[in-house]
Amino acid sequence: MKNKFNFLLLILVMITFITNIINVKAEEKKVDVYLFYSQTCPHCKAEIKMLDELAKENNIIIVHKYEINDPENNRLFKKKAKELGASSSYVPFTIVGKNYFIGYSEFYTKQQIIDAINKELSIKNNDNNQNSNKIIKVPIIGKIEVKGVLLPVIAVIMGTLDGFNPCAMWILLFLISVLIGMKDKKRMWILGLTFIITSALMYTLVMIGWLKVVESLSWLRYVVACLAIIGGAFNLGTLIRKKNDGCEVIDDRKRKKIFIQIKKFTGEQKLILAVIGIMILAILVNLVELVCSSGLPLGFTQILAENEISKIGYFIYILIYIFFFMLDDIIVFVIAMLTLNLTGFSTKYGKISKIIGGIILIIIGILLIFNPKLLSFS
Amino acid sequence: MKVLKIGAVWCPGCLVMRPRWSEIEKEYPWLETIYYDYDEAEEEVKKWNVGSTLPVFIFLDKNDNEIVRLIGEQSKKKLEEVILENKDK
Repeated sequence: MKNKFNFLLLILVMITFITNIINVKAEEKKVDVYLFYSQTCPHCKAEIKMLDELAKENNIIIVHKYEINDPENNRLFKKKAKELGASSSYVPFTIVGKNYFIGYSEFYTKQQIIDAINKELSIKNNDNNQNSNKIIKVPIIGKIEVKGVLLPVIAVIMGTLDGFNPCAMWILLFLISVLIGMKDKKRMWILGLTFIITSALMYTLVMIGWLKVVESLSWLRYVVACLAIIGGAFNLGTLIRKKNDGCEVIDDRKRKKIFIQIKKFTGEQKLILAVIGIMILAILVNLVELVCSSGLPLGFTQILAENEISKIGYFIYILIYIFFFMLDDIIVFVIAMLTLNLTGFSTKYGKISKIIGGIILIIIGILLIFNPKLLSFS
Repeated sequence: MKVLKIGAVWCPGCLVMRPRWSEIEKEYPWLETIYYDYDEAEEEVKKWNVGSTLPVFIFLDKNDNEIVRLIGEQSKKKLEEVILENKDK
């Protein structure tokens, strides 16, 4: 019991430490100014000069310049203008926060842009002050900023709930049962860990890839919202229909096909061939099974996209999610390797995870549609 | 009285039931239990019409007629209740 408490405490301390590293960047409030310009436009040159001087004097101002003759910049220009409900026909086009300015004049627009920068800065500082008010005291660890801890806590909760989803667990259990029969401990550890690590890598890559997609296509938020609501409702619906606490028998043909593959790969004489086989199996199986549990990773990735975090921050949060997603697999595998006995988690945990996961997905879906700002914690 | 236990190595619910049955088998040595693996004992699975949820526990009387069928994870208490209620059958 004491060991379990120490382990949980260690995880909590690690998460707090990581969170502090991630949030250092968020505490430095800066104002981003986006300028779309053309090299041939004289007003643009005047504005660039003004903004460069302003940025030189105040290191809190960051100017992002986009020359619109570049096709990619032009696409971004049209996209941003559309988002703001503006015409994208004229440059210079300046964006400060939610304000935009078309054209430039030393006497009029310059002051408007400076006012918008000051306004944006005061909004960000207010946010900062509000955030710093929400501090709680945790025994041993000390003061914790509530908003800063929310994302890692969500990563832990959603990762753990996803982990108890029984989608891919049955394959790992069958693999372990075959490995136990091999009586070659070294080979058992190598092949089992190959399956677990490949599964984790697969999941990480899919989540990072999906994050990139949702970041570049903001309208996908609504697709994710709908999928989250449907997925959540489906989770709750299956529980209502299900009468017994037990394991659903997977389609005979699919199950037998996978079993044959597992036996074939683990039985390979050459270890390297066995490792490659298990890696391929883990990739294929997780790709198929991802559909079964995609709701939670999809929802979590969208929450990350709603938050302004550094790239390393995104990566660390995904890793926290993956670690807790894989934790039950790791526990089952290690116990089996040490005791040579198969163990499993009660299907009741799967049921609880479906209930909580379903509710969380529905909440995320509703918030994404009506108030996505509530999902922004950083 | 005889109990047929039908489970699979890939079913966590079946694995959870293993230690519970071990305890029961020690406490009630007169109880005869037989384990069938869902993937290996295809004939028995078909014969006893095991559905789509595992584990399945089929309680048989002296003439091998089915008395009670429990599907899914069960508590030790529930299993003991069924055993004691039907031990003379």
